[in-house]
Amino acid sequence: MVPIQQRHVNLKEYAKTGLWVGGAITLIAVLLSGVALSPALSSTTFCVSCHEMESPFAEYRASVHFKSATGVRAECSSCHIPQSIGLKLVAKVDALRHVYGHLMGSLDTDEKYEGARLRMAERVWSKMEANDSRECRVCHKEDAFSFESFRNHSEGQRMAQGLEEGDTCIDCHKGLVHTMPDRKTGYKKLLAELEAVSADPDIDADVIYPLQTVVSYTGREGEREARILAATPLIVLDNTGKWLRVRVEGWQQDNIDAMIYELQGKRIFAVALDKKARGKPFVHSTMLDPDTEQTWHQVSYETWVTNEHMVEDKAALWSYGAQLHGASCGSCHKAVPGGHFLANQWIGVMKDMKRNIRHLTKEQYRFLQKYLQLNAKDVQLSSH
Amino acid sequence: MARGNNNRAGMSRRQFMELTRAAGLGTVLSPLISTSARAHSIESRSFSCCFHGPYYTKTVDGRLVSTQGYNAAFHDNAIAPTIPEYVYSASRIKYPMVRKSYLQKGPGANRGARGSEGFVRVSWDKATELIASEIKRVIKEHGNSAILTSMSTAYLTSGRINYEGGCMTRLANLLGGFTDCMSDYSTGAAQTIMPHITGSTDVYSQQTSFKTVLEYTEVLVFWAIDPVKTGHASFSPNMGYSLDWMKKLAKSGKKVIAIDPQRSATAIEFGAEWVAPAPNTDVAMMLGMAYALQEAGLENRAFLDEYTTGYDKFLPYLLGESDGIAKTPEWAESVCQVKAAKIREIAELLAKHPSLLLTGWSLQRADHGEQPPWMLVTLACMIGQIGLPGCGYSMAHHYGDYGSPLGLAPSVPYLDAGTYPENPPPLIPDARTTDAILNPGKVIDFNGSKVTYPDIKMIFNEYGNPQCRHQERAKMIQAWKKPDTIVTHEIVWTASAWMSDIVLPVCTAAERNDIDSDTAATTIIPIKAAIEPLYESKEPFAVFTEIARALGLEREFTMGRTAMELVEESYDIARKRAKDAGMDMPNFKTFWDKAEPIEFPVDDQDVDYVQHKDFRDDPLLEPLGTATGKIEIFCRNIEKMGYGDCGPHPTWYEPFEWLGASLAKKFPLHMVSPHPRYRMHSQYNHVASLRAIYNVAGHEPVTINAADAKVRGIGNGDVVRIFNQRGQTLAGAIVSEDIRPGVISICEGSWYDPQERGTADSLCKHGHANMLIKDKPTSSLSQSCNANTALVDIEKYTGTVPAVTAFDPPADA
Repeated sequence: MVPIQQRHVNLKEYAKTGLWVGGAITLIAVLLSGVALSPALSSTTFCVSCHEMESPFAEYRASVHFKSATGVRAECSSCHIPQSIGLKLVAKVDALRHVYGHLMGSLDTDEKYEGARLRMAERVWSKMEANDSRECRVCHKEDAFSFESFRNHSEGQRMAQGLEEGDTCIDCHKGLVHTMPDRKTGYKKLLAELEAVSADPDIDADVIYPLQTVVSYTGREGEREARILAATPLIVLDNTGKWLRVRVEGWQQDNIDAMIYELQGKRIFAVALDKKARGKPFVHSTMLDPDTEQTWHQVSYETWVTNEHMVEDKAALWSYGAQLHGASCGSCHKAVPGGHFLANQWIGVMKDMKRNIRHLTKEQYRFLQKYLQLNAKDVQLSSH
Repeated sequence: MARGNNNRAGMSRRQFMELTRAAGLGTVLSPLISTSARAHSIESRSFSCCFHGPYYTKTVDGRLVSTQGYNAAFHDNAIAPTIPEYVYSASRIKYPMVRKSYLQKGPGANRGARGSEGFVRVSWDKATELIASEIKRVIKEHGNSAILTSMSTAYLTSGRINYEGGCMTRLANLLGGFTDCMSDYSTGAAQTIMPHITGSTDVYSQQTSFKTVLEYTEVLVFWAIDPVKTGHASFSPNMGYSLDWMKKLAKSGKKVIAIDPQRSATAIEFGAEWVAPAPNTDVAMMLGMAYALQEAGLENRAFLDEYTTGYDKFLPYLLGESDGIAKTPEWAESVCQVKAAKIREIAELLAKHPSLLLTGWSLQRADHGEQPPWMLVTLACMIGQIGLPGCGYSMAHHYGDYGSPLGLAPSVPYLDAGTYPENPPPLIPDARTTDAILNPGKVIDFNGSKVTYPDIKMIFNEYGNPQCRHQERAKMIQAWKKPDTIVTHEIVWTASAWMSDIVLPVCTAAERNDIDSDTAATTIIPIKAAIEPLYESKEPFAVFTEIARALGLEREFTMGRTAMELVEESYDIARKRAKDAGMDMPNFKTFWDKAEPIEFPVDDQDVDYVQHKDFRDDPLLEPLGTATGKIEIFCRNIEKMGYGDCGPHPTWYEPFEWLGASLAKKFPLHMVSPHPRYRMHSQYNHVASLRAIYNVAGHEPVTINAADAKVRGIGNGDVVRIFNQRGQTLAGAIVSEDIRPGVISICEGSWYDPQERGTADSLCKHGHANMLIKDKPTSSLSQSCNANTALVDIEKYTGTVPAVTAFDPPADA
């Protein structure tokens, strides 16, 4: 316990120091605010000075907010920076993220920009929703609209009604200036989540699944010897961090030594072996399939993979498959459930439909095929 | 996608370059809220499309005055200029309408009066409130499976966002799903059995390119396929490429045989030799040909060994060792009534020359319809030319431009279907819907599985016209008197709309905005409203939005966006896909203002596409999707199903009705119901100027052989009555030598026109084929329809001919 008197003295000293420190901080803050709030740092020229802004700038220039019959132009800042000093300062501090992002190169390619487009747009939309489209309303006053004089009468009515019901500008006017992001949610969102999970280098499961086709190697830091297809169960034998020794259990059809399938008699691709690895799978047993009169070998194959693109949660993988299926097949016709066809039939049926699902990447196509095959009438996904 | 880059230079089509250049000028995007394009000027031109193809529209003083096909094939088609007549038809549904008793007393009220009782006009709010509360009630009391819907393909309502099937799926998914149908009336039997045989549906797949057919094939056999007539049909807009190829092929001087009970349009255009078996006996004729090949040692053993399985188990049946009947050409003649010598001749011709066996979908729309495609493939295996350029067999050269190379157009997304429920209600085979409504709880076989019918309390019928497409009208009318509620969205007063409780008016594509792409992916097409929606009709997306609003799910359904915003979004996604493939597309505004399709070149790799070539080249690494990876002439998977009506190898089964049946003594004519030339199924039937081209004496025409007509005292142009134990219809007779004796032909899709509305056993005044055809599945395997299996008789109609009123709306509508 500190004596009261002493405590009193100390407090006084602290107060004195605090005053100095506080004063200094305030001074710096004021100076910085001056810089932050200077018009130069809110000019369109400044905004687009980083090359990340090329694409949004081009979109803006093609919009009526840049050029229109009225001759009124909205600058970047008109929509993206609040007018009041306090909020503007907050926005400027928040904008330090952009500097960090720029230094980290998080948007330095078209691909990265497109990949982040939805996330960025959603951030802006939610802000505008929260502040009732405050920046829009600086120019577009609700009481200044003459809804009767809209060229399209029903649009005027619709807008008047929307505002009356408490909708805010951004609820309807998304994608007005910048390209509308691809919001097809569902499977894309699930894939993004899986990708995020698979980026985690730490693996502690006994069985892992590649999220996409991955290469396997002769050894740790070895040479490539095969490709393992997405969703193939890999039993982890050795986990050295980045490198893992894994085992695939599957089946090979006699005379087709390039391929390991997941199940006997069902051509569900697990591993495509390079020439050099074709003798490598260990044959446990051999059987004659009475239905097809073909010879099949039960095999296991041990190989090395890296920890990249691996997930541990099989259920999440198949949720992604289910949504990919609905989105890819269910737009034109009722999505045919996996269980309507046999596992092998899906190979041909997917090929038939190629013309209608040609926007799927090769990886998505293979994943969808495997999902449908593992849900086929003659396969029990749950038991797999 | 490097090939996209390579092709950029090849993208020489005029319009594409123009648009691309225009895009480079940095034109101005308008706010998305602007739907522009609505005509307010005195005269304006715009662009739209239907499934026959894209077309220009001309509007004067807010009225659509003319339409003109964009591509030559559609331009030449009689349908293209009649679209204004379709739009302004007196058959249009103008307002939301509710059946009188239903409005007064609610679900199930006086349900027996469906089809005959009048309707009362209500507001959109009232109609959607009734629908929403009924959906909620039915789900709460009976579960989601008690609501039946079925996806239909409305050919005048093209578009990716307003595609009504997509809208329905999205709404259904928000509610946990409805009972839906799978398979379809067009190809049910083939699409179910062929995956067991060739590992492909064969009916919905890219076909060997017409170019290779033109270059390599010497003998063409058109087996019950009429591509000259049906080449304009597609699942999405059709550019008529197949029809162009047909013209080239017709002039090529190849040996052409048409096997068909009718001398088809294709047979006439090609100057083909016409061979006319009795309907539904084609499997017997094919077996005779197979026997002839094997007898002459012409079967291709090397092909059979390497690429097929089970020929050795089929052979004892062919030779008669297993059932005591050798399937000799003489035996075949006794069944199909084609001379044995002709059967041998055709078999040898096919085996000794590069040949292609083309068939369409009519053979499998018959009792045991699984067998003809299976036997056709078996025959093609014995000939052994599958996988060679231009040769082998095909089942879809008449449809969807499937024989033309695919273009490089990026795919244009449809409306997002939303999230599928985890345990959706059941899917029932399309052609069993009547059976399902009448027999809740019944368990049927279906492709090796069992399907249990749910207890249907509500039918949610978006656009489809089941009361036309489904067989045995009387039975379906009875079935539709059973549910508590029937809702129909429609453009015109179809028989299904008449049989409903709540009817919502939908506008045509000419009255709304959307976007589409042709079936061969060579164009992206703007659909721009030429006029505002007529009366109180709405576009499909808006109809579903209204229902969703009444359900409290508006925002979930629309994702907070208007249809126009979704159209633009769809375009932007396609544009991005094009960019990824190294192609430039103009921005949306430029595309939209230009009001013409963007054209894309074809994929070079696809120009010489040959079906099953990869399999022929490397059967081990490119296996087919069958159990053995080979073509299965004998199929263990089907054997294991143990169906008495579909055995393990192609088999001749007697149809339940055919000219060889004892019933033929009572009803001596076999009626076939092929696809019409001037309609898309039942669509466009209400267009009077088209009917004027084909109708006879104001009725749907029926073609009858001159000898059959003579013994019945029927003259060309007479009104006749066609009848059997299931029903009767009037029709207008065409007496002809272009149909074999013993057969009559009346096209499917002619509107039902009962003398007394709502009465199941009424005479049809107009010429509706499904009055006479039995509602019976093809087999336990595919549970598909029997459209081409019916025995009937026909007589000159001597009574007072009643006026055709099929196209009149209800009195108060």
